[in-house]
Amino acid sequence: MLSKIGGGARRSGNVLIGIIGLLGLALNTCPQLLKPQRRRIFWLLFKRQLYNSGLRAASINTIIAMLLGIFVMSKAYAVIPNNTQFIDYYAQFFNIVVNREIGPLISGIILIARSASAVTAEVGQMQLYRQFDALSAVHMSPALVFLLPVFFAFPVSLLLMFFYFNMICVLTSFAMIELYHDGGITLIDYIRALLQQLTVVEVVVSMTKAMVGGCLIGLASLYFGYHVEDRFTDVSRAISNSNTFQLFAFFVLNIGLSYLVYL
Amino acid sequence: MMRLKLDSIDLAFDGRPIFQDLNLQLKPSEIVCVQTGVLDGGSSLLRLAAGLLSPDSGNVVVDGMALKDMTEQARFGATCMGFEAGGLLSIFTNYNNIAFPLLYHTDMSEMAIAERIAPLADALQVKALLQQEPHQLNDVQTRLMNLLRAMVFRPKLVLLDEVQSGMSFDMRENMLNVLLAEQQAHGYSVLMTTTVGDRTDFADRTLAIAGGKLEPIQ
Repeated sequence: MLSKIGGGARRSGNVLIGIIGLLGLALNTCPQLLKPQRRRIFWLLFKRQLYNSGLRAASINTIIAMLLGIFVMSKAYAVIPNNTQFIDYYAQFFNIVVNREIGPLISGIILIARSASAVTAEVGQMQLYRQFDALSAVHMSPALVFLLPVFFAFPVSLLLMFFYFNMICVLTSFAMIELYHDGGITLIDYIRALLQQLTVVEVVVSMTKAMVGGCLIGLASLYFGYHVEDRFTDVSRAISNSNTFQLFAFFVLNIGLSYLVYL
Repeated sequence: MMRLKLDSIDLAFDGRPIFQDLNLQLKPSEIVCVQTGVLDGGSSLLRLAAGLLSPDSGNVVVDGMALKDMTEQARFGATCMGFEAGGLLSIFTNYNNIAFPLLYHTDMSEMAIAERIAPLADALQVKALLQQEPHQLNDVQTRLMNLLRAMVFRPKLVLLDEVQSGMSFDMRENMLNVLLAEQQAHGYSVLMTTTVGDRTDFADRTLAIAGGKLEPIQ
């Protein structure tokens, strides 16, 4: 049993070292973007990645954000009396539950489930069918073609998803307020109350969760995809291991940051 | 100066020797065909010359410089390999598989790249396939796209792995005519592996792999 725990810790350590190595490689490759021709290739691949990981997740993001907005405001009415004077409490409840915790967490889970697993599968398939040979044959850096677009697009996607998720949640929760209330609270009032609750620290923490979390998820998906070997089942195993690691790492990051800053 | 020099190459896979003390020299603008059989190392020979495989011992030298010492930019100008299968990245269209490396390594504008690709694609009769993706090509079309890429790059040495395989008579004649005209125009050397039934009469020399070495065919 001890050897199993030791083996697991060693594997996790290797993954972390690998991801730190990829981070170093990404930073080391950034100067290549100073060349206009290479920047052009990067830009095309970055836009493709951003479209796949950020924009195409909009529909599922909308549905989950709407359901969550309805759920959160229903719960708010279960604990806070139905009164226009309590608008600050509604806003505070929304801010603590959605903005600080659930919004980032669910956006990260959507990114892992939709995009990170797709990147792992894509890179894994390319590794399985020796397509990196094709890249070597034309002497192009895999870091510029695969690493940098993911390295930049994932954090930006997660940030956009946070923002989008919160916007939809705000609108849905206001719709619930309209439904429960006899009137008196306008959307402007509600948004103003929400903005009053929002602090600079919360904005910084949310952005940190998006930036660090997005990088971590993106680099892990590449790391596991790149470690696919010769068996067909290696791809499914890579996706499974990648998702497990990403979920664990992203939860630790979220809870850790929230614990450090808010508690 | 020799265009390509394979010097005392040893190569083995999992302890199974493929080449032992293999030597080959190609002059500038020379065309050499290597007749290959099954698993005798034809593709490995080209991969060595392209720098995609490292020999266990020996040197691969292009225009007086060891491939292993070249920058990626210098390697791009030195060799390009046309694969027998694959060789194209599935995340790019066929066109971008050719255009992106040029954009990456040169200062050519996108317009200039398009103008270089179009006539050759037309000549090889693959222009309609350029906007498709690699998975939409059959094996002959894949080899033609690899050949097109090599000709568009105009390196010092073009390496072609069984490019004639599976082609109809007319298609093969057309392909060879285009290749030879381009080779004459730009002066690159060509090392091509061939198989039973392929034409080799256009080559300056024809060799065969025997006992881990290259031997001339009369």
